[in-house]
Amino acid sequence: MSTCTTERWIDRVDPYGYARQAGLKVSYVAIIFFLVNAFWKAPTLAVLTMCVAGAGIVLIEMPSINTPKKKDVSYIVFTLLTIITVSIFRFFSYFTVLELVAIVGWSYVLYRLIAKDTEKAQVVAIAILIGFVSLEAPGATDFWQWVNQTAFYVQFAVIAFVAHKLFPNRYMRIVNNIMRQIWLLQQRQLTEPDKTSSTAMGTDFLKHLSALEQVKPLLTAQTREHLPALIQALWQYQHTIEAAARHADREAIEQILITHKALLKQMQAPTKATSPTDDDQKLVAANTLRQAWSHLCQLA
Amino acid sequence: MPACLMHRRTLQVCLLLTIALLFSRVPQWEHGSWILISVGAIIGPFSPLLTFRKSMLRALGTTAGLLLSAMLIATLSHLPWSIPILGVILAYGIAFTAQQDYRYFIMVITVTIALNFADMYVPFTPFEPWSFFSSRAMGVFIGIAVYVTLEWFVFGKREFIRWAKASNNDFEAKLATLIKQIDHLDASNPSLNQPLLAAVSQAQAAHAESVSNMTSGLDQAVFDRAKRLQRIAQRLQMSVYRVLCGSTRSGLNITIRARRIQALLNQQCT
Repeated sequence: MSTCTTERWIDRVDPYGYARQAGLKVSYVAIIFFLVNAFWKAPTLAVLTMCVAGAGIVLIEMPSINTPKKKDVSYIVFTLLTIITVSIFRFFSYFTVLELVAIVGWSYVLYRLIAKDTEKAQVVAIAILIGFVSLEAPGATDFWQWVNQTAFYVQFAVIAFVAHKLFPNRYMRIVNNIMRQIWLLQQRQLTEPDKTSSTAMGTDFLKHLSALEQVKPLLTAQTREHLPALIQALWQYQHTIEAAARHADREAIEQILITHKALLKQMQAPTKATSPTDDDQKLVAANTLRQAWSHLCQLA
Repeated sequence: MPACLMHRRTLQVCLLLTIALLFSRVPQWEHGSWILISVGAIIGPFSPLLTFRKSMLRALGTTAGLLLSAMLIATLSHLPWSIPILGVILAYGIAFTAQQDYRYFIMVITVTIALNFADMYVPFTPFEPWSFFSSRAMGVFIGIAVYVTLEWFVFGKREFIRWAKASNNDFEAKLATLIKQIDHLDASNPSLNQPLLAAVSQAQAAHAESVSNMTSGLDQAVFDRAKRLQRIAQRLQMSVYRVLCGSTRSGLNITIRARRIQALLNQQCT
């Protein structure tokens, strides 16, 4: 977690780090594709093959696809859909009327069978879009060449899937970023109580906790087990912050801010955290949160 | 979303694709597929409330992307070793912007497609790159024009209103279910309520996104209802927050709060 105490550009653009995570994973798959491409010459445009096999990786890194099983199934289903779509579009691209029937007919079938809600309709649209992009590439001129191209898409898809499975679990970083967002929110609550409405604070706090719930299935079993303790400590700490922001005087708030800033630094080096006992409710809440976080980081 | 609305939209999308395909194939234009690609990208979110704004963002993103790719080609076309590095950077860019504003995503996609389909090897004569880019830009803008014409003049304003109404109904039903669950909120162990909190937060975010492009000019009643539902959801969240945070100033318990919100929602229905 960054120890920067002010909101950075990236905190606004990618608060939980999902986009950075997706970027890293797709770059890693791209490097593997480039290496493979150096040895296996694609029978069609290499970039199209990479696009067909790699688009699924971008898709499965969306926050809503939040279990390892969902990620695997989504990748396989989406890539199969894309390969079939590209193959159909390419196969019929030499026939004037049949091309129209095949493209519109296949799009209708896909939407009717898969698009039961708008979210799934978006996935169908991406597969169809890749099918349209494939029309820009030179196509196969006989049946076996077409089979060869399709087999090559499958080959690249298998490589991408293996790469996805070998990619290390980095979802603890998402939890780190969520913790940072909560920390920044609490700091804002203490420093700008007049500028920020309590409703906005409350809903933002719930939004961050909801993100924590969303990423939970992707964490390791041990980490998942100890997440409730962290959430409990977060609520307890939020209660003290809320009470201080509402009732405490300027001097008391300054004191809490010092503890709050120290908490960020201690969370950065969680293993060094100590567990002093203190009668002060604010310090107790901060210590409980620090301990819960340290424990979670040690398990990760 | 109701099945009939989804089916109607599927038929509209198919009609849109047919027209775009005719526009791209009948003139036997070399880069005609770009009309199809444009329409395919715009119809992505499916709901007309989102796709209309997307068409405008696509125009912006494509223009920026084409300018950027022209600069990149001018700079890097004689440095073949830079292509793999650029490839990795663009792959990162696509995945990163896929979760950001659509115009940035389209900008990176345009650069990627323009650079990858052999454009880096276009002989750098004074006219060739320009004719190449202008034909791409033409394809994109024809695609946007086809979409806007059909969406606005053929499918019409009523379709937008139907989707906005369905989105409101959907959100109202979700809120009613969530309010019932709030009675079982366990304030002594906040971590147990995490799934409920996530459901409320996600339902509100999804509804806010689906009606974000709706203006009061479309239908005042539907617009007001969407705003009222958002306020109810916010109130629901605040009630949960206050109970779990232990900061109930008025001393009301969660059952009374839930009943009040339910009454507000019922008032909304009538």
